[in-house]
Parts: sequence; structure tokens; C-alpha cells
Amino acid sequence: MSFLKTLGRRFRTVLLVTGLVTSAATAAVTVPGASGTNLPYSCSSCTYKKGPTNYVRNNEGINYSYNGVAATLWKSNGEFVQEAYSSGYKALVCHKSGEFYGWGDVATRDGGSAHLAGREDNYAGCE
Amino acid sequence: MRQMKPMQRVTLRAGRLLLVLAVAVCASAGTMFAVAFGAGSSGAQHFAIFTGRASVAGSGTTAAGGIAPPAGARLAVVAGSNSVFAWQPSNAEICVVDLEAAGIGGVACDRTPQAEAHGVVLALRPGATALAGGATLTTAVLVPDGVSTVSFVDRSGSIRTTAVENNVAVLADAQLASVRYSIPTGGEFVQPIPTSPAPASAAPTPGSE
Repeated sequence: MSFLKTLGRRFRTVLLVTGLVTSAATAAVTVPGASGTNLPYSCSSCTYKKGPTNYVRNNEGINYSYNGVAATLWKSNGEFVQEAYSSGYKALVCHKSGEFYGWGDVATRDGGSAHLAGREDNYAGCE
Repeated sequence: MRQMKPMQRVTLRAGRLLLVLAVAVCASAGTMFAVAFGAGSSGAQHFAIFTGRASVAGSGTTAAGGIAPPAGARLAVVAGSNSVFAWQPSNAEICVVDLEAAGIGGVACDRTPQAEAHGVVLALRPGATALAGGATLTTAVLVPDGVSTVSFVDRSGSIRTTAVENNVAVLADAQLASVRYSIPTGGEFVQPIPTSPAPASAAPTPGSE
């Protein structure tokens, strides 16, 4: 009986450790780090849409009404970083100096509402 | 051969009809998709820079400041600290890319039929850090073959006319108000340039996303 109790206690300990290790591994994979931003955002009818705040480097904006679009990058303290304005349906602004903590936004430039879509990332390429 | 019952014949005919309808719908959808997304239209015949008829440095060229352009982009003009590229990522769209030595860059794209008709305008506005590094509002225009000059109009009303080189005209002018040029199919294309980041009144409002 004593042997069985010891075995049961050891099994519980192994089970607990295994559970903790699995949880830690899952959390490490699930929680996005600074090196993996890829955040789409959109609105079905608006003149402006702000993206989520994260580590960003590039911001792409698309106007599905095809009337010109601006994609902008802002630092989290509100500092304007840069803007790309396109006469076409798509604009991409890339901050080649590296990522920073902030957000991107997308806006129409004719004042009209449109289906706007944006995507922030911190990839190295400007494309 | 076994004689078919009337009900079986009706079912068979209905099946055939459905099949024909499905084929017709798929064909129509394919045609509409091709028209909408410019399939079959390479765009190259309207832009000499994509066909090699223009004198270009080739694709993959590193821009000023050591910034790599998108794969397949073709260097059109180096103006000051700006390297401007023409880029066709797919048959569906045509883009102009501006990479500045100050470490900022931008891309503007339009659908291929629109780009072929009147070109694509990109205005790249730097923030305070890039301004301190020597960058300024730079406007790059990718125009189709047949457009030889582009007029840049600033806020005082003065006009600077720039010759098109490799389908591109570019000007760095913080006070630029609009871009205008005659398009090959007739008429004039006019593109106002926004005066400030958009929308200035909405930014910044942290937490409103």
C-alpha cells in the first residue's frame, strides 16, 4: 500500500511538471512577440480607420472604393512618423530604419466613406 | 436496354440542365474575374520601363541609403536622396515605389487598366525624424508611354514642369499642391496632394482602435 501511495505521488508530480512545461511552451508559441507583427484591420464604411498599437514597421492601406488612399505610421506617443498617399487604390508606407512601438492608420482622401482595409507588420521588406 | 421510367427521364434531364447551367455560370464568373482583375493585360505595353525599351538599371537595384526595393521593381530615376522604381507585382496592378536615403519609403498602386490610362501618383510625407535627416515631401509619378512632361504646382501657384524619364517624374517640394499632365487618350489628369497627414484631427487618440 505504501509502495502504491509513493508511486501515485510520483505520478502526480510527473503529471504536474508535464502540465506546467506544456503550458509554458503553448504560451511561448501563442503570445506574439515584437518580432511577429502582422495585424489586419478594416471597416466596411468609414473615412478613417486606426490600426492596433504594436511593434510596427510597415503599414498598408487599401481603398476598395478606388478613390485614393493614405497609409500613415504613428508612434505610440502620437508622433507622426510618415505617410504615403496614393492616387490609386493601395498605399504602403515603410519605415526602413526599423520597427517601433506605434500604430498605422488608413484614410480616404476625398472625404467620402469607403470600405477600407489596412495591415500592419514589422517585416523587413517594403512590399 | 432497360426502359426508363418517366420520373427517371425527368430527373436525368434536370441533371443535364443543372450541369449546363453550372458550366455557364463558371464561364461567366471566370470572364468577370478576368475583366475585373486585369488578367491577360500585362500593362507592359503601356510602360516602356517594363519592356526593356527604356534605359534602366535593372531589377533588384539597391536604392540610396542601402534600402532594397521590392523584388522585380525596376529603377527608373535617382533624384537627390530618392530612388524611384516602377513595379508590377502582378498583372492586376502597377505601382510606383519611392525609397529615401533617410530610411523611409512608400508604394502607391492602382489597378492595371487605371494605371495604363492615367498613371499612378505617390506622395511620400516624412515625419519630424526623417525631416531632420534631410527628407522632404516627395511626389513621384509613374506615367504611361506618351506622357513627356509632368507639371508640379505648389501652394503659391508656381508651376515646375519636369521631363519624364523612364516613365517617371519626381519632385521634392514641401509645398506641393497638385500634379497635372496630359494623358495619351486625351484630356488632363489632375491629382491634388494633401496638405497634412490624414486625418490630422483624428490623430493621435491612443486606445481608440
